[in-house]
Amino acid sequence: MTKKIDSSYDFLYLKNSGITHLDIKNIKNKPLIIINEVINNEKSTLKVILEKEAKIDILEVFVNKQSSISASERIMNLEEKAQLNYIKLQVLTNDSILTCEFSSLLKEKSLYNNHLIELGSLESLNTMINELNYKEVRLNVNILTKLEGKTKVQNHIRTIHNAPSTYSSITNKHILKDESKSFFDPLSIVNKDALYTQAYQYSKAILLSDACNVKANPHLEILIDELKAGHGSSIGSVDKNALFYLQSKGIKEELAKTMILQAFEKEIYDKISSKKIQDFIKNFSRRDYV
Amino acid sequence: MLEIKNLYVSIENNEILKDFSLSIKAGEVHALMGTNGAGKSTLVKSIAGHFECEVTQGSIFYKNKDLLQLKSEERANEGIFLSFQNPVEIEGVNNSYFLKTALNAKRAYKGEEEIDALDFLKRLKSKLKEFNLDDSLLKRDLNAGFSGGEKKRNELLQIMILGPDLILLDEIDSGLDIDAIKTVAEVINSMLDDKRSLLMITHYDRLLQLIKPTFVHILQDGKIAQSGDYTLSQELD
Repeated sequence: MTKKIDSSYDFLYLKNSGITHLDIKNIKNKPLIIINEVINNEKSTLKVILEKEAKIDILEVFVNKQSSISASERIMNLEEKAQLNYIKLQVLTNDSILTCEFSSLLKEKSLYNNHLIELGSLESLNTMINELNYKEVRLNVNILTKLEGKTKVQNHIRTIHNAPSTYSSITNKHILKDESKSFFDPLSIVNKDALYTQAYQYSKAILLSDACNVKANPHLEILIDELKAGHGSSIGSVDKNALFYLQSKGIKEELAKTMILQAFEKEIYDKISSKKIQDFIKNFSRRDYV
Repeated sequence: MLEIKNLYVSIENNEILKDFSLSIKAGEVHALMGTNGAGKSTLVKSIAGHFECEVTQGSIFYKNKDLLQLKSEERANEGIFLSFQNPVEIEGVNNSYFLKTALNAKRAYKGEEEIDALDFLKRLKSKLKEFNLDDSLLKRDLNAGFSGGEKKRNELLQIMILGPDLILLDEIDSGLDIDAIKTVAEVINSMLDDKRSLLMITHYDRLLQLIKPTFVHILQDGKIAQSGDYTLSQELD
């Protein structure tokens, strides 16, 4: 694997096997880039522990040299007022299968932003369980599922609000081509003690072929009245009016479509708070790492 | 410049334009008036190649080219500009990037080199300054969250940057206060010469007081019922 050196980032190179602990004690201004080389039939566990008020941006890139079936477990423990921005970028070969299990322990007033950028593999399954047991915990999950060929991606997100004034927002944007399939299955439960909670779920899909398929099941289970909550789902093709507007100003159809699709996915990239990580993803080339 | 003959246009199988004919020469200003549903917007959308407009009969020639054989982007790059009545909001597409992309598309069509970012910005800023327009529009996404007036100003900015030969204004004055209408007139008048033509749709005489039309046409039930000079609009108003 080529090791890319750039002093704007800290790099960690992992083979997708064994257990790795990351203990973050203070505010890290440099983002951490984890290059995770996925190996067939291996499972890895990464445990990230953020001490009180610690803050870090982590981008984990899942890449492989050849076809693989593998599993990963990601455990995020955030102490009081800690902030974790975790981004998973998946660019595996189009015959690979990866499952990722995410779990978290989030202490009072902590903030956990989890971004899943799904760009390639044959099948990808993400399961996420977040129990919000301490007050004023904030959780944002932003997923971009951009698929082609026969790729399938499933995202099962369970969020359980057990403490007051907790917040969760789960969003999945899908751009699907060919025969690809995306399944978004969020369930957010707001229990009796979780007064003044906010819980949101949104799914927006653009389908670029007749054979692709998206299933979105936003689901809220609410046991109290004192809260704010919302969920919604939309499915469509490229907006014809937007397309015509751009074409009528001289922009070719293909480029106009690309502009509209880039605008659609931009919302997810814009939610990545680290500009450096946004830039890294923008300039990322799989060939540099395999 | 533009020659429309015996045009029939349907939208979702409803015939809107019926045996419509119009000729616009270089340097002429035409105003199109008429009640809602008469077919005014359908006409300009048909000239621009809107996907909803199905031309069932007739012809549109522009600069001696059969317009109906051209895609909408080709029509734009040939010099036709449609200013939308309700410009579409496209969140995520930066306005300045969009303008530069549109300008470079036109330059590429003409076989010219792409304009570099610095030259483009200079050109843009000078146009904004000339007409005292707000440059904050450039930093925002294309029409996203713009007020009605901002959307119309953005259309004007596009006209100034792209420099079309045939300008189609679909109710650019709707929802604008008198100062904003004066700005519209100032920009459009500054662009008019003996080579550039204008077809404007309006319900009100106040725009026509500021941009004097060569001809005024009244559209009724899909075809021109009456044509005349500027005094015709005064009679209607």
